[in-house]
Amino acid sequence: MDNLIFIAPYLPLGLAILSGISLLLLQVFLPLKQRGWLTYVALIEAALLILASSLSFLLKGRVSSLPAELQPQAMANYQFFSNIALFFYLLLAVALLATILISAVYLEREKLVYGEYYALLFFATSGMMVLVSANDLMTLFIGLEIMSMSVYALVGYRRENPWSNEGLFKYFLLGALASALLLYGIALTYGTTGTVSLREIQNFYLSQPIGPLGSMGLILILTGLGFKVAAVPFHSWSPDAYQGAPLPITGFMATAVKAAAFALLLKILGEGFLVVRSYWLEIVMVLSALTMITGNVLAFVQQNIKRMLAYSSIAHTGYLLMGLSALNLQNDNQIRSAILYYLFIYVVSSLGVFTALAQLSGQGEKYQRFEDYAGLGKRHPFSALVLTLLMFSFIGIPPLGGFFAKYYLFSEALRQGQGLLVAFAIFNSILSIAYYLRLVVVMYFQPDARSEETRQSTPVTVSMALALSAFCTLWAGFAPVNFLGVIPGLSPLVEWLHIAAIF
Amino acid sequence: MSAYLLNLIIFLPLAVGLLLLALPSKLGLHRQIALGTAVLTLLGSLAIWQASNPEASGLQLVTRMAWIPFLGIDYHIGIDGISLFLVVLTSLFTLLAMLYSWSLDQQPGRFFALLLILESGLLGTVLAANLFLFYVFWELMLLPMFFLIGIWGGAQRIKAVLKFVIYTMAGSLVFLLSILYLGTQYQAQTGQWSFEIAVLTQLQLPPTPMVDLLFLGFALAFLIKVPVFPLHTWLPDTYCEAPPVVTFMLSGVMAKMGVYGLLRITLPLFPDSLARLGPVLSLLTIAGIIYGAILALGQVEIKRLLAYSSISHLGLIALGVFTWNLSSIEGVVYHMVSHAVATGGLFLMAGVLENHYGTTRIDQLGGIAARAPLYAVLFMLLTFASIGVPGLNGFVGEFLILLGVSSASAGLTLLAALTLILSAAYMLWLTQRFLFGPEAQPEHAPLRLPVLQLAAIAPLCLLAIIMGLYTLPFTQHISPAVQNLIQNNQGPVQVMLPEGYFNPTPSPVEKPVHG
Repeated sequence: MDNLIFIAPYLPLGLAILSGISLLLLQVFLPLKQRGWLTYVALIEAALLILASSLSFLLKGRVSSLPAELQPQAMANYQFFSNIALFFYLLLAVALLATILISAVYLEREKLVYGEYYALLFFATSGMMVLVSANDLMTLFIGLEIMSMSVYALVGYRRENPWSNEGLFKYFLLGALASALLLYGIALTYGTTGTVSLREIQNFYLSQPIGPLGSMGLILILTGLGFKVAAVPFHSWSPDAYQGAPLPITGFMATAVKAAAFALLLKILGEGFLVVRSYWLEIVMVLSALTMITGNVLAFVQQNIKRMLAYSSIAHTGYLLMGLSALNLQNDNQIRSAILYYLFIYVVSSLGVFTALAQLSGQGEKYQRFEDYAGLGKRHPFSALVLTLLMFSFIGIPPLGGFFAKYYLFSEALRQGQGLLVAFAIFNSILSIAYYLRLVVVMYFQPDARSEETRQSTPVTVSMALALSAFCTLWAGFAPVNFLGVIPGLSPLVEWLHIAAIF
Repeated sequence: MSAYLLNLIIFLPLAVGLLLLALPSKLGLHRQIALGTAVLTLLGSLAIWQASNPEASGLQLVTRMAWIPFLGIDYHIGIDGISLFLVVLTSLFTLLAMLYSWSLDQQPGRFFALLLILESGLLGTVLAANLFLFYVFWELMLLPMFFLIGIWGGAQRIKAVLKFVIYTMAGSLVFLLSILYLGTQYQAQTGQWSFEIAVLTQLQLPPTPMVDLLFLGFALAFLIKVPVFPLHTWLPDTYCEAPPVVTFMLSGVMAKMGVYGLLRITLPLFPDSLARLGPVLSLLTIAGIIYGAILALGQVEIKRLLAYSSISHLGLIALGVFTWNLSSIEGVVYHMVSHAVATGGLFLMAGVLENHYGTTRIDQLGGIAARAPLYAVLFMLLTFASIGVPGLNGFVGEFLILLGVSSASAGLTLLAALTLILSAAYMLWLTQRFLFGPEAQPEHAPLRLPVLQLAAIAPLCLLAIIMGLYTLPFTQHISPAVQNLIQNNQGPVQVMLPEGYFNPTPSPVEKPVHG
């Protein structure tokens, strides 16, 4: 047991990498007909990943029970495994699990070859796990690249499809450019500070001015990360990549990849460069405002739901950037926990939306336009209900999770004196009502466009994923919440996030 | 025991409504269950009326529990003489709406379930004593409305419902921003969070232009809901496209929530801003009164005419609110109920007409009184109630409001009193055109009031008479609550118009008495 404590922090990451390799190998040895088993293997491995993350966290709490002379070494092993990293591990593992669940049905329907698909998913996840637990810029960059390479391949997975190829090409070119900029920024920062460790960079800037080279490095890093989170004006790849990617992968990008990219931003801005806040604050504020308004306005005019979701995801990036702009020098945990909470809600709701779409879009994803969903409330009552719930959550109608996420984030940003930006965000939320409601209007208020088609039943896995997403969205609205003391055992998520936000 | 009643009437309809939505429609008992729930809720609210003490000041039957402790958000509900009426009104109207729409053919189960959820949202809004909770219920009542109009509405329903929802949500989000801002101000001053309405009214805000902005932020959502000119543009489309029962709920109860919000939240929070901006707002309400009435004169369709008349009447109520003195607020509370009774009833009558003839265009109707005397009598009764004929309920409220306004400004009173003349003009002209005169559709079967629809309309007519003749049971609850509201919130007793603003001859200034 004691030995396990020493290796426990490496368990989740190790498991993710091993899972990827094992899936890759299995694919070689399994005949084509039996590759359906890969799905089950992948599902089990994703579930194990969640367990492993929880286990390592539990073991971390037992470090103090070790003999005193062993404790320092154990603590050193756990250094990268902060609470915030655990939060992201779990979030990523859940997103991975949901993506595999969606993919199982999807891949069968689209007749896409199995095999490397799941392996790539696991490799992407392991990259993200490196990224969210990295404490220096180099490790961080490596994690980012592992993630990006796998995701590029997944975006172009529908090889026969021209949209997929276009999306991949744009994503790859701009992603490579972003990586180059980021690397250049890291190099300049290293040149200024003489270190790549985030903590040491912070210490360096505490005593020394940032200087022209250092600020150049900061701006380049911000630009590179702007590409990764799809902040305007670095967003142009995202709608095409979202549209081209297979729907489960679109979901994966909108959730896991986005969460990881934000973890990265939170690390760099909230840790390494927090002391030079005055240098990046205005940049982030402008980025945030631009991202919100562009995302919302362009989402409004889309006819294609996938693209609408891409732009809506950009809009959410804008709100999250506003949260980053409220990071302050006191290193307040409230704002971090608000950001994490928002990410959590955003991820679980988006997963539900993409699950539903992956199922409803039909063979070859031919139903992507709003009008294709007319009368869905009659044809697929459950899917339509969950979609409606999630759209209302995105709009921010209480007591759904989306409302509380917005409420919490906005109130924290207000408290940090970002009044104007919050007012702007509210204005943007008003804009967003129209396009989210549009889906609901189409589903319930318009006559069934495809009533003559035979109704296809929803597979159980999909229904389960949908129910889970809806449940999380509802639960998260009440979880912050010791709801009248009536529901025991709902430990307040947010108070937990407060702890998680402590580095 | 009685404190649980409040929780019960809020959450019983919600729970049953959600349950009914989940039940398969083959079961076929939806309407009966929903009606039973509505009856129970009405009984509950009548029991609350019995249990509440008319003499007591402040909130009664309070339930208060921590809800989101680290943000200082409590689940806090209670009732007083003002909310009491809206509670009874809401539960009564929901029941009547169900009676009226009993024989609906399109998905009746869902319709009834949504009505129950709507009731829950409305009751929660009225009873909430915490701003956050208020907001939650405020949004909750919008959702069923969205589906009620969107699924069961007329041909142009989608356009109408989107306009309505985006309009109101825009107001709500600004309201949310204002709540957040006020909350953070409080947090900055005291170091803790609180969203209690009673606590926040004690907050001293620095007298900056920001306060007036905040006042407007708090007012916007309510002004849209009422609606006050020029924020009324969603109303005619929505009222006409929604099914008659939904319009009945919209005009009867939902519009009152806007007034209630102003009364309960906005004005107590910002008495100084009311003093500064009150005159402007009062002028806007006057504009709404006259504008609505003139447009009502020009309408060729009954529903649209009633919609514009609603704008006009609600303008008068809003004027009473902004005048903010004892008599005017008492009048406002009274008139909220009587306007709901009269206009709501008229919308139902128009619905009956539409059902029967397939149109509510005035030029295609005529001479109904000759063949459907009962319909004509009820319609005339409600018309008289609506235009404020003494002896019926409309008169009491209008009189009290005008009395209150007159102690503030004679000019405003004169302008506001125009509503009496104008409403008599358009309503009587309307009845003359479509109830009397030559018969327009003699080949059509004579208009009959179906029993259940009659059962929905008759209580309204009865109420119109009772509330006109015997006001004591109502006013004995209203007066102490209004006194309490006004005394606790040191607002200006009068709207401070510049001297001679409306009166060319300045009134004599009181000279200080020298001992």
